[in-house]
Formats: sequence, structure tokens, C-alpha cells
Amino acid sequence: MTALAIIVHNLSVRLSRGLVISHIDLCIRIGELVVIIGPNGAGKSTLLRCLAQLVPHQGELSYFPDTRKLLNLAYVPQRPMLPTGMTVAEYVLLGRSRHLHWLSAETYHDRYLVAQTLEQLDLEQHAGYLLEELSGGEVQRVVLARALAQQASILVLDEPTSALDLGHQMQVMQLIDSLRHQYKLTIVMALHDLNTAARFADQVMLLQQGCCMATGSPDEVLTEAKLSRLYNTPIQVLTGADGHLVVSLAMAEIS
Amino acid sequence: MASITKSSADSIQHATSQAFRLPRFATLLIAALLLGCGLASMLLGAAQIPSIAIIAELLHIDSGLTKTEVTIIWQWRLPRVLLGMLVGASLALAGAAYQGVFRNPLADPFLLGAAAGAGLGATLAIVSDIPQDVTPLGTVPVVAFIGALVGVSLSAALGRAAGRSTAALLLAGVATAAFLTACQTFLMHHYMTSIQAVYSWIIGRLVTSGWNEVNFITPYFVVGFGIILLHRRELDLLRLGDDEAVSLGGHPRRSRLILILAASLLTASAVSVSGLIAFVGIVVPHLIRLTLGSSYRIIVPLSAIAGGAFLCLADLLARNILAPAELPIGVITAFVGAPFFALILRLSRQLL
Repeated sequence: MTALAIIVHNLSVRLSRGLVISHIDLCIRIGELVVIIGPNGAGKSTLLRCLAQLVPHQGELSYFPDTRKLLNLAYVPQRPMLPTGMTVAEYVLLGRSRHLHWLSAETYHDRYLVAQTLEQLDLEQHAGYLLEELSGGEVQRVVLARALAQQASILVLDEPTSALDLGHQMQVMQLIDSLRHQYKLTIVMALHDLNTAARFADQVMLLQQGCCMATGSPDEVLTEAKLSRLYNTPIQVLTGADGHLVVSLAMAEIS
Repeated sequence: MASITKSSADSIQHATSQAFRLPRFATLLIAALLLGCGLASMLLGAAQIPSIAIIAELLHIDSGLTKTEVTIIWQWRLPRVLLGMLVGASLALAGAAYQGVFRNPLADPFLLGAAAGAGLGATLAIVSDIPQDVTPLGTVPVVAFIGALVGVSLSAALGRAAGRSTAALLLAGVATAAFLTACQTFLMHHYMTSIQAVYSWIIGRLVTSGWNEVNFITPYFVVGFGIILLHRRELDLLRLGDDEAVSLGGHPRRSRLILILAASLLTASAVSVSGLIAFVGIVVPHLIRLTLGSSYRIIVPLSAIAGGAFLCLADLLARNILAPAELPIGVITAFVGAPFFALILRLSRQLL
């Protein structure tokens, strides 16, 4: 059995609008891909921000190996800020900040690492491009490159594919998945697309109004009964030809 | 990543290195411009002194100049040239820092009320009977510094109360500046005896009495420049917003506070010696941003050099266009700055 990466126990987050996350338990193993599923406003983003220690919380939240300075976690929000006029290389280089002293500058090693990361993600030709010149798929790769440049072993991604078409969604997810295997990354992400979740996740958590409705493997959690209840609409779950679950709206029952 | 060979990594390094480095050619060009403007300012002036003799005198070669001419060169022209450079660099740096801190392309010492605050502070110190040596640093700059901080804080607080948009901050800055300027005008008219002194100071002018002003502003400039230069990476991180900056290991709150203090210090020291010289803080950083790149590792050092060159050039024009009469330098900078500001407004329409 693989070692644990994150333990969440009885975690609650209270923001000004009230209790957004209440009493969540979750165990994440090293190398796992965990997907948080839930309707809009369920608290997915808040939960991820909490894992990235950007919002104060109650309850237990432990990382292994223990990294008090959080050197070990890279967080990418749903809509990363893309400053106009900034080049891809400058942007990815910012990922090295955590390894630098407050006021010091990047070293040759940092630039070398950024260059390698860009090559890794097929972005070396884009190093001098401005962020606003990139397509949606390229932006996602650049943002991933920044996260990888942090050399963290845990990646927290908030809907990394939300702005992409179907083909690019699949490309980005496959890229994330292959990087995960290559570097033994632990990945926690929020997703809207249930089919992607069914295909890639080791563990799925259904989140409803800040409460955990179910956690477990896709097969256990992505059931018609649970999903229909979560989204408050009839949902059909089939098994595709390749053995993955396929989720669709049960239109027949509505009409 | 182990699969990448040394030579391929070297070629990537070569391909990406341009994206990281200070653009060398442009840096040299701006530095040459600074030196050129400085030299031209040394050579041209109301007193007709042969250029060759001036250069010889500057190089400590026997120039055969009279004692008066030597005095003009060393005690009048050189400090004035240096003062122009220091004030220009200070204002440009302050502008760059404010723009980064407020993530607002139009922020500058004047629009944010920092200059108006410094102006009110300095006026207060001039018209009141406070002795000039209350603090070891003199009275005018200290009160001006406090005024600058009050101005920026008022704008920031007012802007935040009205929402976090760029427009809200600028409108708050305009309101703050108007109010502080009104207070200053009231003070001036209340103390009619010093109105002339304060008035000529408001338009902005570079007047030196020997090396006093240069000696005064240099330490503030060195400290402010050092702080902002050290924060150039933090300024880039601030552009990503607080959440991402924190998650990347930045310290947005602390950096913002320190940068505002440093920028206000630069503004206040510049305003204390030269009055209100508008538009340097917005024109120069944007010129760099539009032409050379928007990373603060480029903007900060090059704004300082280009700001020095810009004000030096403006001073050259101010002294020679209507020679032997002298135009206030603020007129020249606003003359160039206002149309440029309009251009920036047009280019950054989508940001407002």
C-alpha cells in the first residue's frame, strides 16, 4: 500500500458568507489522481484553495512528508491571471519563486530548469511569446509548465480543462496523467466533466453544498442514484466499450 | 527530463535566454541617451562658454577658463544636470512601483494623490514657523513624505471603498489630489507673504543652490531605488493576483506595503527639491513597457535610467527654448506627457 500524501480530517471552512466546507474527511495517497465533483457553488474551489492553504480552516490538514513552508504543493486556480505583455518564459520562471529567497534573483539553474520544463511540454518554441498570443490549449500547457517548474510533488488544479474544446480537454488530461506517472505526482483537481473524471480518477469525491456526499473509486461513486441526487436531475451511467463509465443525461425519462 | 541531452538543453537555454535577459542593446542606447543629454546640458546654457573648454575642464585638463566660468560649470550646471537625472529617475521609479502595486497601468505619483500630499506637506512646512532642523533629515522632506503617504492611503482606501476596479482607484486618486491641492491653495493664500515661493515651486522647477539639493536627494534615491530593484520579482508576482502570488511563494501584502513606502519616499524627496513635475512617473515606465517588455526586471532598472534622461532632456529644453528666460520644467514634461498620456489611455482602453 502506497504512503499517504494528504490527510484531511473534519475540515471546515467558514467564509463571510457562512460555512462553505463542512466536516470533510479525505485520504490521498502518493501518486493518486483525486477528482472533486459537484454542482456550481458546491465549494470545490474553496476546498482546493484550502488545500493550497490560501484560506483559513478548522480541522486537520496534514501533508506528508511534512512541509511546513508548503514547498511541496503547486496550485493553479480556475482562471489564472495572465498579465498582458508577459512572455511565456517569464511566466514559467515565476514558478521558481518558492525556491528563492524573498528578494533574491533567479539563478542559472532556475532558468535551465524552466527551459527543460518548456521542452518537456513542447513549448520551447513559445518561450518568447506573449501570454495573450497563446491559444486556450497552449495557455493550459503554459500554466502546467509553471506548476511543474515549482517541482512540487502535489498539484492542485481547479478545473484545468474548463476553457477547452473536447479534443484539447483530452490532450491536457492525458498530459497531466502522463506527467503524474512520470514524476509520481499526487494530483487533486476539480472537474465538471464526469466522463473525464470516470476515465482518469483513482478517487472521486462528490461535494454538495460543502458536504462530502461520497468518496471512493469512480465505479463506487459515479452511480446513477448518487449523481442524480447530486445534480438534482436524472442521470444515466453506462459502461463504454473500453470499460470506462459513460455518464449522460437520462433524456428519455424527462420526456 | 533526464532524457534531454546536454546539447539540446544548451540550445533550449540559448533559445529562452533572450526572454529572461535585460535587452542589452536597448539598455546601452538608453544609457547613451542619458549621457548624451547630460553632456548637452553641460555644454548649452545662458553663459556662452566654448564646448571644448567645458569638456577640458570636466576632464580636469587646464582649460584656460575664468574663475566665474569654472564656478558656473562646477557649482551651477553640473549639480543641475545631476539633480535633473535624480529627480527624473526617482519619479519614474515611483511611477513604476505604484503601477505594479496597484496593478493599474495609469497609476503614478500624481494621479494617486501622492504628489499632491507631498506638496501639501511641503507647503505646510514652508509657511509654518517650524524650524527647518526639527528632524535630522530636515523638515520639508519629512513632512512631504508623511503627506505623500497620506495621499496614497486616502486614494487607496477611497478606491477600495468604491470597488476594486482600476477606474475606482483613479477616480479616488483624482478626488484626493483635488482635495489636497485645495488645502494647499488655501494655505498659500492664507500666508500671502510666501505665495511667490510656493507658487514657483508648484509648477515644478529645477533650481539648484550649489550641491545642496543633489546631496539631499541622493540618499533617498539610493534607498528607494535599491528597495524597488530588489522587489522586481515580487512586482512580477503581484501581477498574478494575491492568491497565485502566495501559492508561488510571494509575499504580496508585505511587498505592497514596502513598495508603497519606497515609492512615496522617492516621490516626496523629488517633490521636496523640485516641486510638482508631472507625467514623468507615467510616461517613462510605459515607454519601457510598450517597447521593451512588461516584466519588472526590465521596467525597474530601465525606468530609472530613462527617467533620468527624460528629465535631463526636458530641463535642457526648458533652459534653452526661450533663452535667456527659463521655462518651468513642469511645462515641458506636461507638454510631452499629456499627449502621451492620451495615447496610453487609448492603448489601454480595455483595461479600464
